[in-house]
Amino acid sequence: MRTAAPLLEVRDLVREYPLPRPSLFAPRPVLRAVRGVSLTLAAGSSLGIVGESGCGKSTLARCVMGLERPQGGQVLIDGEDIYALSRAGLRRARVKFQAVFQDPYGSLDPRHDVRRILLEPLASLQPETGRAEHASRIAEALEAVGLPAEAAGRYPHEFSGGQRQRIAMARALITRPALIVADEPVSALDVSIQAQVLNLMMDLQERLGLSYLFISHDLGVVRAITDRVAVMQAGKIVEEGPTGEVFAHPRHAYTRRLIESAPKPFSGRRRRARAAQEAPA
Amino acid sequence: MSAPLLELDGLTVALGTGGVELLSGLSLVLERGERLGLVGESGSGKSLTALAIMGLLPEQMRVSGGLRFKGDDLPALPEERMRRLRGRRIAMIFQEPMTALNPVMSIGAQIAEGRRLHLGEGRAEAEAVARRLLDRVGLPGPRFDPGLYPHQLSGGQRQRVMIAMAVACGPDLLIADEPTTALDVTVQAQILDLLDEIVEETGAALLLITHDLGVVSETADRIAVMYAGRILETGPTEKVFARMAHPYAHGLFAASPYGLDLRRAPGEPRPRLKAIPGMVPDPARRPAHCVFAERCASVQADCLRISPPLKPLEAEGGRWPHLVACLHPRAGGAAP
Amino acid sequence: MSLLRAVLGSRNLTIGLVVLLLAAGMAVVSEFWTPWPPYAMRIRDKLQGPSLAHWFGTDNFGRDIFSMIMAGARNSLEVALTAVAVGMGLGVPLGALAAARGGWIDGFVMRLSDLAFAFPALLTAVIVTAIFGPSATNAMIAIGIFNIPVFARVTRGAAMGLWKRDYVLAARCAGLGDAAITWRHILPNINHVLIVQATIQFALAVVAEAGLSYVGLGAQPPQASWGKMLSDSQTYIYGAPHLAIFPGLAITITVLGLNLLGDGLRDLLDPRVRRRR
Ligand SMILES: Nc1ncnc2c1ncn2[C@@H]1O[C@H](COP(=O)(O)OP(=O)(O)O)[C@@H](O)[C@H]1O
Ligand code: SF4
Ligand SMILES: [Mg+2]
Repeated sequence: MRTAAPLLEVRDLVREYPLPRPSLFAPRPVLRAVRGVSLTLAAGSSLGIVGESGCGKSTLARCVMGLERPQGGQVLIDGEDIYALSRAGLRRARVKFQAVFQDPYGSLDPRHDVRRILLEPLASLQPETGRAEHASRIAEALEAVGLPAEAAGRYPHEFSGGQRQRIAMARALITRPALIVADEPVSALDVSIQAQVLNLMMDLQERLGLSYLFISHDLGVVRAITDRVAVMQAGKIVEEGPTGEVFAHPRHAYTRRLIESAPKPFSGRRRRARAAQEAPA
Repeated sequence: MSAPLLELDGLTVALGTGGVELLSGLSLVLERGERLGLVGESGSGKSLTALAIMGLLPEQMRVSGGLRFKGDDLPALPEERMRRLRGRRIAMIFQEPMTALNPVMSIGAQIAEGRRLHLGEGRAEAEAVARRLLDRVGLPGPRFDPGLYPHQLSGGQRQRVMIAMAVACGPDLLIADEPTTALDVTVQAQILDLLDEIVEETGAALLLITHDLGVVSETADRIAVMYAGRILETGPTEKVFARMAHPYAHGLFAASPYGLDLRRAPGEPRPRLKAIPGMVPDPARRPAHCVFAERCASVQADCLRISPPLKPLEAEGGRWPHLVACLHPRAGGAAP
Repeated sequence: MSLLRAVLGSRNLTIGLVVLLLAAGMAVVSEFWTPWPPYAMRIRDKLQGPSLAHWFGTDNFGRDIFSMIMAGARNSLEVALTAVAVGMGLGVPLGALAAARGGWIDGFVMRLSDLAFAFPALLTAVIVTAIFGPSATNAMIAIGIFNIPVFARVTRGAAMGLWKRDYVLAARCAGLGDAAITWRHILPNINHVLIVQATIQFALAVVAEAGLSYVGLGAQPPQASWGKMLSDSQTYIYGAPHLAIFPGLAITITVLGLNLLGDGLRDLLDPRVRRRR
C-alpha cells in the first residue's frame, strides 16, 4: 500500500494543439497550451489553479480528467498513471475522479431528466449497482447537494443556474469519488448564489473527505475555498504555495499584478492598471 | 438652474398595459462629469434601465413615470428625434464587444460611421478623427490600423474600439453595461481606467452597470444598488460602503468572497461565506411588501405590510443624500 | 395513456397524423377498390370537370382522376418515404461519424458528399436506371442516394456544435464512448433539425419522382403517381386546370400534413416545450 502517495500528482505535463499550416508546405505550427506543469494534491485538501483566460487551465483540467492524452508527462491518481491504463482500466479508475464544469446551461443535457443525468456515470462506471441501489444512490446524491427527491423527475430547464450547478455536483458525487475537478464551477453564478454553491462545496468536502482541483479566474473565489493555490500563466505554473501565504506575500510579479488588478470594495476610486504597472493589452 | 442631464423620476416599466412590473419607480439624477454605478445581480433590472434610457425597450413594454434627458421627456419623443439622440448625445458600450461590433466592417469605418451619420462629416474627415480616437483609446498606429477588422483584435482591444465608437460624437451620457465582465482582471483594470480618463477629459456622465461591488467601488462617485426592479440603497460610494444600511446591500457584500475573513485556528473548519438564502423573486411574484422580506434576516412584522420607499438616512443629505428603502436599516459598517 | 394524451393534446401532431393516415389509407384501399378502374381509358369521357360520377373529373384519356390519385398515392408515398429512409439511414450515421471523429474521417465523409452533390439528381437517377433498368423501385433508390449527402451534411453541422458542450465532456467523464454519446446526447438534441429536413426532403422526393417519371425513368405507364399526373397535366393547364389542381392539392396537403407532424413530433420530443403546455 502506498500510503504516502498523494491523491493526484501531475508530472511535467505537456499538451499541444496543432494549428493549421500557414502555407501548403510550411511545417505545422503547434500551440503549447500546457508547457510542463507539475502539481500534487493531497487527499482531503483543495488545490486552486488561477490564471487568465487562455492560460491553459481548462486544458490542464481535461488532461487530469483523462479526456485528452497529453504529449508529455503523466497524470497519477492514487499513484496510477491514468494514461498508461487500458481502456477498461481507465473506466474503472474513473469512479475515483469526477468533474464539474462551468456553464450551468451547457453541462446538463436538456433532453434528459435529472434521474437520467445522475444515472449516467453510475450505470456506466459501476454497472454492478442494481436498480434498487440506483434509486437510493440518486436520493443520496440529491440530498447531499440540498435538492428535494422530486427533483429527479424534472428537466434541467426547470432549474435556476445555482440549482443546475447543484445537479452537476450531484452527478459528480454519485460514484462516491475522492477527487473532484471543478473548472470554473461558480463563475457563471450571481454572487449570492455563488456563495451558496461554494458553501455547499466546503460542506461536502468536510463531510465526505473530498479533494478538489478547483480552477477559476476569480482570485476571491479561489482564496475562499482552497488550501493551496497555483498561479498559471501561459501554460506554466509561476507560483505555488499555501493560499493565505500566496495572497498575503505574492512572490512572482505576475501574481502581484493579478492581485493588484482585481477590483476590491472599500478601496475608493483609483486607477488600478497604473498601480499594477503594466503594458496595454 | 437648468434641467439635469438625466432624470429618472419614478420610472416604471411594465410588460403590457397593467401587466407585470419589471422596473418599479426608479428615481435618480445624473449630471455631466459624474460617474454613477448601478449594481445588482442578474435579473435586477440594470440592463432594462439602460434600454429604457436608450429608448430601445421591446415593443410590448410600457413606460410610465418620468424619464427626462436635458428636460426632454424621452418616452414622448418621436422615434426620429430619439434616433438623433442615440449615438450622438447618449452612447452605449456593451458587455460583448465581439457581438456588438460588425465583423465585416473595418474598425476605422465603424468609428467614423457615427460622425458621418450624426455630424454629416465626409469620409476623409471622419476617418481622420477615427485615427485620433484609436490613438486616444490606446490603439496607436501603425500597429493598429483603422483598416483592421474586429477578429484581428483581442477582447480588450475590441472593447477599446467600442469605447472609441461610443465617444466619437462627443456624447453627454455614456452608458456602459458590464463593459469588463467578459475580460480578464488585468485587462479589466485598463479598460476601467480608460473609461475613467475619458469621463474626466470629455466631461460626459457615466452610467456604469455592473454586478461587481469591487468595480463600482473603484470607479463610481455614487452608486445605486438594485434588486427586483427597484433601487434599494443609493448615495455617495464611500457612504454606502461605509454603512451598507440596506440588508440586501450588506448581504451582497457579505456573500462575496471579499467579505470573508480567512483567519482560522489550525484544525478548525474553513469559514463559510454568508450566503443570502433563497432566490430573487420572479417578476410576476414580487410581493406587495418589501421585495427583500422573504430573504431578509432583519425582517419584522411591519416589513410585510408596506413596500418601504427610499428615504434619507440623515437629516442633512447634502447634494447627494444617502437614501435607503428599508424600515429597519442597519446601523453598523460593513468593513471587513 | 400519457403518450396518447400528449399526441392528442397537440393540434399539429393530430392534424399531421390524420392527413398522413388518410393518404396511406387511400394507398391501401386503392389496392382493392377505386370508384373507377384507375387505368381504364374512356376517350368518350375525356377532360370532364368534377361531377357526381367523377368527383375530381377525368383526364385527357377519360381516366377518373380521383381513382388515379388513390392509386398514385401508393407510388408517390412509397417512393418518397423510401427515398427519405435511404437518405436518413445512411446519411445520418455518416454525418454523426464525421462530427464525432473529426480529422481525416470528417474530411473523407465530406469530400464524398461533395462528390455526390456534384452529380445532379437526374444524372444519378439516369446512372442508376441505366444499370438496373427503369422502375419505381430504382427511382426510389436514385432519389435516396441523392438524399444521403443532404442528411450527412445537416447531421454533421448540427452535431459539431454539440460536441463542444460540457455535457458531452461530462459523459466522457462517465466513461461513455463516441457511439454512446452520439446515441444518447447528440441525436436526441438534433432530432428537430433532422425532422425538418426530412419533411423538406419528402416534399422534394415527391416532386423528383414526378420529374423522373416525366422523362420515363420512374413509375412506368400506365402506373400513376401524383408527380406524374401533375407533369402530364401541363398541356391542359388552361383548358382543364383540374388535371393539375387535384394532384397538386394531394401533394400540398400531404407535405403540409407532414410538416405539422414534424412540428408536433419535435415538440413532443422536447421536454422544454412538452412541460410548458
Ligand atoms: N481543442 C483545442 N484546439 C486548439 N487549441 C485549443 C484547444 N483547446 C484549447 N486550446 C487553446 O489552448 C490554450 C489554453 O486554453 P484553455 O486551457 O481553455 O485556457 P483557460 O481554461 O485557462 O482559459 C488557448 O490558447 C486555447 O485557445
Ligand atoms: S424593510 Fe424589513 S424586510 Fe425589507 S429589507 Fe428592511 S428589514 Fe428587511
Ligand atoms: Mg477555461
